[in-house]
Parts: sequence; structure tokens; C-alpha cells
Amino acid sequence: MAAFNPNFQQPPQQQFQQQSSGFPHGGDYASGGQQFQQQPQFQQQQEFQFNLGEDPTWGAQAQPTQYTSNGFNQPTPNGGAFYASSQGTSFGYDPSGIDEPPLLEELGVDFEDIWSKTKLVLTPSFRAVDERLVEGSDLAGPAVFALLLAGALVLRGKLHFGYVYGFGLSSCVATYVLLNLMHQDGGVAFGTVVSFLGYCLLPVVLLAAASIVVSSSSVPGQVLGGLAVLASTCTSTRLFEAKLHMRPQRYLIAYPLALIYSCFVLITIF
Amino acid sequence: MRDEDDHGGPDDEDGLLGQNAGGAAPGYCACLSVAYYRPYFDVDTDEVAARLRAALFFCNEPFGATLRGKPDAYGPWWVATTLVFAVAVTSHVRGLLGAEAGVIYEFDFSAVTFAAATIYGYVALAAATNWAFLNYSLKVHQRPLACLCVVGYSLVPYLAAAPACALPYLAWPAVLAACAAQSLFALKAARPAVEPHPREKVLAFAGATCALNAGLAFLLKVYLY
Repeated sequence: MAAFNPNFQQPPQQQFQQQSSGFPHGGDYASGGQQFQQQPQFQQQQEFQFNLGEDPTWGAQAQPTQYTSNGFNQPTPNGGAFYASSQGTSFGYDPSGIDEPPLLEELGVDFEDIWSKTKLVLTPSFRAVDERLVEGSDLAGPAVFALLLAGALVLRGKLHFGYVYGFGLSSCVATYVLLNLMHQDGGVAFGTVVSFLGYCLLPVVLLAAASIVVSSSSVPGQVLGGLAVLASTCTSTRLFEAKLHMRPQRYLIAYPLALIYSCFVLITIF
Repeated sequence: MRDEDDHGGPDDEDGLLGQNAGGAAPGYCACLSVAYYRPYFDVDTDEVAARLRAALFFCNEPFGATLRGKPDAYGPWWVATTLVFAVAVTSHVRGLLGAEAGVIYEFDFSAVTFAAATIYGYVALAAATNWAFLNYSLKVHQRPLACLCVVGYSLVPYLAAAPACALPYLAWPAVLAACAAQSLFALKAARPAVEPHPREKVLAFAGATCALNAGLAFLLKVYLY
């Protein structure tokens, strides 16, 4: 039996596209997996080195002359027939899906973008934000930060998942309504609001982590709480200002955002 | 004095008169869309700051001139909300300062809900009363938003008085001063619109305004401070 990885999502033929001759029927398919260097975002290369050699079905049907060395996006002439007659359909993917992007890209998870936005949140300042950063609204980072906040609170013995989710959602709705009311040229999408508010939750997450070791009812803890509110407010205002070009109304949206993050910090501290 | 454009004509002295704001979509459900209320939030930081200053230092020019025919709903909403939180927090600070030594002070969240009910209720009631008086008794055409704007910004003296109310012995003077400032501001703002009318009606209007303000001051002082 083929010792294949059940989580494998890519059609296996992408592994051997670089090999125009001398297709190995048995043995070493590790080199096939290493041909994936064209996709820098593709994080799961190592999983796809499943050993086809042990499966006589795959080995017998491999036809190297039909594969070009130009890359992944060249469909084979009888690629459909190849897989229709093989066990490939049991994996549940589209037989002609050679053009499918990698899974993370399909889900919209871009680690570079997440990291650059995280760096932006961690370095509060008053400079204007680069507009390219605020184009996409991704929800992966915010979801992780919300879970991290609730998880950090669990480490202090407080099960506040419901508060974090509930208040987070209601604050997103309220901010969405407010920004759509105030922005006179069109509005902002709900996903964008959730994305920006979620990213700027990172200082509160750091505060929750710090409050494991620093007592939050002491003066240093409360000073840290104030700083977290300031940092979150600062960054979220900059993000919304860059996205919606609302510079004259900057402080009018900063005040409600400060209230929101104060509530998060209160949940964290008390 | 009705003008075609939204900002009132050049001879619109008090600036509180004007057309109804353009809605997003025609029909009865337009008031359920966000875009319908968008013109009411068309303000900048500078404009809101100017209106707040005009509410606090109302001796300079009539509030209508500061509004310039563009009353907003942002100011009243956030002044009222801030006042709710400020009153609740200073009420508890006062309780904490007044607690006996060695007694653990238990804070009571119902102060927040009571403050919210009082202040939002006052704003709604005062705005409705103002509008009804001006439109039906005095026959002065006023938009409801303009009345709400005046009532909302008139709460700014209370924002300034709230920290003082936290200290012992200062509660009554601070609340009474805030009430007086609020009443004077509201009457001064309405003055250009009501002045040419018969004296009895003007006095009735002024009396109603001052009674509502006194009621607010009484409720805040007795139940929260």
C-alpha cells in the first residue's frame, strides 16, 4: 500500500513535472517533492513526499513523456484519463485541478501580510500607515489573537472566553455602524472592521500575558494597562484612517476605539 | 426661512433652520439603513471641538452660529455616553472616599444603569419637549436634530462638574452650577428663534426647559452622589 499522507491535497502529478525523462518507477520520490521550490508560500512541501514506488498502480501508470518541465500549470493531455482510472479520485480532488493554488493561499492566509501587520501593531507610532498594508482584510490573525487573549486569561484561572467573544463581536458591530455613519463617501466592510480591531488586540494579549507575572491590581500593572489601551487605540486609529482617508475625523474615531480597548483591558485586569 | 440647500441661507442667523437631510433610499424603510443617518455625522474633529468649547463658554456667540446649519448627532450621543460613564465612575469614587476606614467598599453596577437611564431619558425627553414647544406652541420651524444637538451639547457643563462632584462637600455646588450653566446655554441657543414671540409662550418654553434641567440635577445628585 502506498504510504501516502491522508492530508495530501495536491494532485500527485505536480511532483514529477520537472522530470522529463527517466521517470523513477520505483524508489526515490523524494526528489519529486523537492521540486516544489517554485512556491515559496507553500508551507507543507515535506508532507507530499509520499512514496509512490510501493504502490504498483501508480508506478505502472506513470508516463513521463507527457509531463513538461515548464511548471505546474501545464495540463497534461490525458491527465483526466490518467486519474479517472487510478485511485486518484479517492483523494477527493478535481482531476483537472492542476491549476489549484496551495491551500493556504486559497484560504487567504498570507503569512507575510500577517507578520507585517503584527509588526505594525507592535511598533506604535504616529506615522501614517502604508496603504498597501490595509488593502486586504484577513481574519486569520484576529482569530488567533482573540484565542490567545482568552488562553492567556485561562492561564490566570479566568474562563472569560464568552466575554471576549461577546464583547469582541458587539464592539465590531458598533464600530462598523459608527464608521459607516461617519464616513461620508461610502463605508467600510464588516470584515475589514473585524480584521483591524482584531489585529490591534495584540497589545491587550501581551498585557494579559504580562499580568500572569505582574499583579494587575498593582500600580505597574495598571500603568501597563493604560499603555496597552494607548497602543491599541493608536494603531487601530491609524489603520482606519489609512483605509478610509478619515484624517480630519481622526480623534472622533479614536475616542470610541479607546473605550472599546479600555473594556478589553478591564476584562483582562479584573 | 426655508432655503433650498442644506446649509441654510446667508441670512439664517441662528443657523438652526434648514431642510430635512436627504435620505438614502425613498420609502418607509429608508430610516432603517445606515446611509439615511450619514448626513447627521458629517463632522470633523475641529468642528466637534469648536461646538464643545461653545457649549462650555457660551457667552461668546449663539450656538446656532457655531452649528452653521449643520447640526450633528455625534456630539450629543458621545457627550451623553461619556457623561454616563463619568457620573458612574465619580459616584463610586465619592463612595470610596466617603467610606469608613477598614470597610471594603462594594461597588454597585446599578449606578451605571441608573445614570444611563437618567441621562439618555433626559436627552430624549428634553429634545422632544423642545421640538414640540418650538414647532407647535411657538410655530418656529425647527428640525428635531437641531433640538437634539442643543440638548446634547448642553450636557457639557455636567462633564466638567463630574470630577468635582467626587470630592466631599462639593457635590451640591458643582451640580447646581452645572444646572445653571446648562439652562443658560439652552436658553441662549434658543433665543434667536423664540425672541419675537409673545412673552407668555416664551416664558412657558423657558420654564419647561429649566424644570427638566432641574429634574436632571436633582436625580443625579440625590441618587448618584
